[in-house]
Amino acid sequence: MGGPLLLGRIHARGRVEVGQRDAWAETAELVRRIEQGDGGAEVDFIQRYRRGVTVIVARNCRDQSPVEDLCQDVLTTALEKIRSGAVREPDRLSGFVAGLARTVVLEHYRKEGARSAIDARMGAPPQAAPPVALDRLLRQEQAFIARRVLSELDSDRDRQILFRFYIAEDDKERICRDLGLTPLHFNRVLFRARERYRDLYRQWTAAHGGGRRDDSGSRRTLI
Amino acid sequence: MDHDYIEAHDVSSRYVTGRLPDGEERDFEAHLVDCQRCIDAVEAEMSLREGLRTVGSECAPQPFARVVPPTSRATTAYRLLRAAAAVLLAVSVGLGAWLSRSRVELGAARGARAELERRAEQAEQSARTLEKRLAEVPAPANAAPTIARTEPVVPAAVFALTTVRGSSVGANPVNRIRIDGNPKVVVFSLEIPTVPGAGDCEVSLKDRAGRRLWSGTLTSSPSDTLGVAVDRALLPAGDYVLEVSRRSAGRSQVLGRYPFRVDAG
Repeated sequence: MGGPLLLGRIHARGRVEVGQRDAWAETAELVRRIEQGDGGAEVDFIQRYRRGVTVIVARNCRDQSPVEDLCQDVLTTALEKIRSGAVREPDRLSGFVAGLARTVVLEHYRKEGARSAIDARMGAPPQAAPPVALDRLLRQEQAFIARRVLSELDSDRDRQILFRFYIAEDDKERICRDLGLTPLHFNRVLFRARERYRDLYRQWTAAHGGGRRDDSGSRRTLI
Repeated sequence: MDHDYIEAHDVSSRYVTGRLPDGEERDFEAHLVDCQRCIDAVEAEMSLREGLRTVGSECAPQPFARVVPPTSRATTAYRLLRAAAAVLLAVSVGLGAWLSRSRVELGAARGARAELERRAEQAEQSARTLEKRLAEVPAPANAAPTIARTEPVVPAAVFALTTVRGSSVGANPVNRIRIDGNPKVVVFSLEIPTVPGAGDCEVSLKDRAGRRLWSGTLTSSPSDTLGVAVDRALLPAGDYVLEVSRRSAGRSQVLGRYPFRVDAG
């Protein structure tokens, strides 16, 4: 080896984090290739951002039914903007894509609000389509894994921590005060529950071929 | 935003539960959209949250068919006995729902279900035995002929409630129920903590304003689950809390509070 090699930041568990500047350089290169009409770069772009966009859209949507369509919308719009040279800071492509995802979701609900107002004047809107069997199966599976995690917790108090934090959305401080907990205990319960859920979730997705797949064969998120 | 910061400040959890300030949320999303590790973490958290939400909102209504009108003293007694059997059956089902939801793993849940089915069968058996005994009791001379019965007696709905500490009525309760059909009785299965010492339990139902709508006393039992049957008419859509307390040495000790919301059916 000719000289020193910069690996990035080394973490306690031995992981190596790619430097921010490297990531920026990569995305700038990706933008340049798409601008030059490289079809392979567009595929790379989709593969790189699809899951992240899905998570952001799902997190910002009130329900899951429009998530897939909105993701398509985000990725298509992003590609159009890149092709037309509208991305002014190519090295900040991730920030651009994330911001676009938020904007598309907000715009969707703004339009839906206007449509609801029209529907209210014109008469009842048609009923939403019932959830498909696969969605029901996923919900059942999520509930099953959650139950399993709950059953493995030490006490009813620990189960309450999860419910109050994730469902009732109580503050950590309030939960600790009400249940007489130290912040350390709180963090430990949450950490253990999350790790356990993640393990079971991974097992489940592995057993089901990596989770839901859409038409393009890429993995769909289990949310 | 780097992973040291994200882990130290529990950013992915706070993101999923909407607890990040707007600027921090945008910064995190700019990182998240291109970070497989954080995507994994957020996906798992969102999925866990959905799973918990489903578990928390699950309820198991068990509607029963209509009652045959009583025609004599004997059939009134018979109706009460059947009602008791039906409530016992309903409580068993509620207990089964709760156990299978939060306590045991799938294998254990199957075992519990088998046990509950056995108990339900026993309850049915008891009801049949009681029915047989009643049939042996001579009817009064003026009694109307017994109507052939093909339907269960008490229309009831069964719900398992989760205790919530320190939560006030109406503050987005974990327990939400929807009473479908037209049950006469709503049965709640309540898990109570095991408290040493004997003493009867007092159960009270209060509305959103804290007004006591109903209360009753139950004799102590070694079981850690109570079955409480409440008249459906007491529960129009709204927020309520069931409170279980024990009186000992002149003082009342709250064993559990179960806030719940009845959604319009």
